[in-house]
Amino acid sequence: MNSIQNDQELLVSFKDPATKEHAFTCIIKKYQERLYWHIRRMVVDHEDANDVLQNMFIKVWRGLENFREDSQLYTWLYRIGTNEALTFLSAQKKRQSTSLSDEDNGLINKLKSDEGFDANKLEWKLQMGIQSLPEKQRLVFSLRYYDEMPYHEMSKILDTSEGALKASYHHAAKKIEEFIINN
Amino acid sequence: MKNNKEILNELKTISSLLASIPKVNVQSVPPGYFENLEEKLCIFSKLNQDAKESFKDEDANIPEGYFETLSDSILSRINNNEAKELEETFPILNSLKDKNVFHVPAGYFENLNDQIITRIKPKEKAKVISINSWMKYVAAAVIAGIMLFTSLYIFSPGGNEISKYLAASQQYETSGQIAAGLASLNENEIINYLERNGNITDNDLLLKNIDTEELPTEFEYLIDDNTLNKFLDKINIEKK
Repeated sequence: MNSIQNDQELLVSFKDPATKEHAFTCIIKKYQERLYWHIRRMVVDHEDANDVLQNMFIKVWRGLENFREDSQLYTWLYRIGTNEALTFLSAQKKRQSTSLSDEDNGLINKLKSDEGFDANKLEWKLQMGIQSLPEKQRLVFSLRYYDEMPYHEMSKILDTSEGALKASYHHAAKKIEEFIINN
Repeated sequence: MKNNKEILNELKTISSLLASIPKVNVQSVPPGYFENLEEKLCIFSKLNQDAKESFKDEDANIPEGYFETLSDSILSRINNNEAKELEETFPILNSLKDKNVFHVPAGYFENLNDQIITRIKPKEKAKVISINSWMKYVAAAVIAGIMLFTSLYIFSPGGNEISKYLAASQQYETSGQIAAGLASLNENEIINYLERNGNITDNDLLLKNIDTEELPTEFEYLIDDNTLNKFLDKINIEKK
């Protein structure tokens, strides 16, 4: 309940020109890490995640005055972050003029180029397994596994029914386990 | 009763066995349950303070602070069940959950806020006058159309903000960059540019087909980069 009240207070402060910038700073500080990791898991590379995150917050700055408070700020931010990450991946795909599977391999290659990459370590196998998933499953898995988001909230962000999300998460987890066992 | 007979006849055609079983409710509710239900639902829907006030005089057996912590207790139970689900169904994944392999540059989160504020501030100062929000969409549509489908050489290089933007836009690779570039333009520049270079026929065609009531909101435009294209498709304006 406290986080909701705080968000409401921040939204009120944002609408006052005298406190707008301070309120926005508080919103960034409050949500930056969660949103960063959500985006980073989607785009893999830090520089890409930084670009997407900054562009996202600039859109938030422009759109926050029109934010309809019938949804939670947190859900709205995740929605914009998700949209920005998917737009980025889509643009990257077009730029590379490659097929979907090649694009996925591109993300796996980014993982492999990380200085700490170790193909024998389980935690890296997990990341490879995640990046081998189709985009939507990857998104659902990340929101559930890492962000521990309830299905009803995920449903608002992804415009998908809770049943479909549960099925998607189950398929994703199964595929990743198989990937880890077989590699 | 007529309906009941119809339903019974329908059931007989499906299953004579089911239709022959007397309708007896084998489940029961506590005495007086429905008499107080509405009141209880009101109380539980408000949860904390109101519920506490309602129960204060009626039931002194509720532990102190029960309603303050009820929502947290329920959420905690839900989270525990979910954690257990992962542990039991996908033990390997569960064991890896807290291992983060990605690195973030030192001090990144401390400085992020300043970087974003720096990017926002100059753009705010650049706004001199405001034009109607629907006019922005028309302007953006015409500029986007010209930008995408007209060769750059017809514009004089390096003159005003628009020509700089058009030159720079050749290097843009993401829709975010295009949006940021468009947002950086002074609205006076856009109006002047359209007066000089905008295709009058296109503007007339757009304005004739636009019902300002149906225009997307700024929120929709921010959420979905394809909002403008979808809107143009909807009003059947051909994108050159």
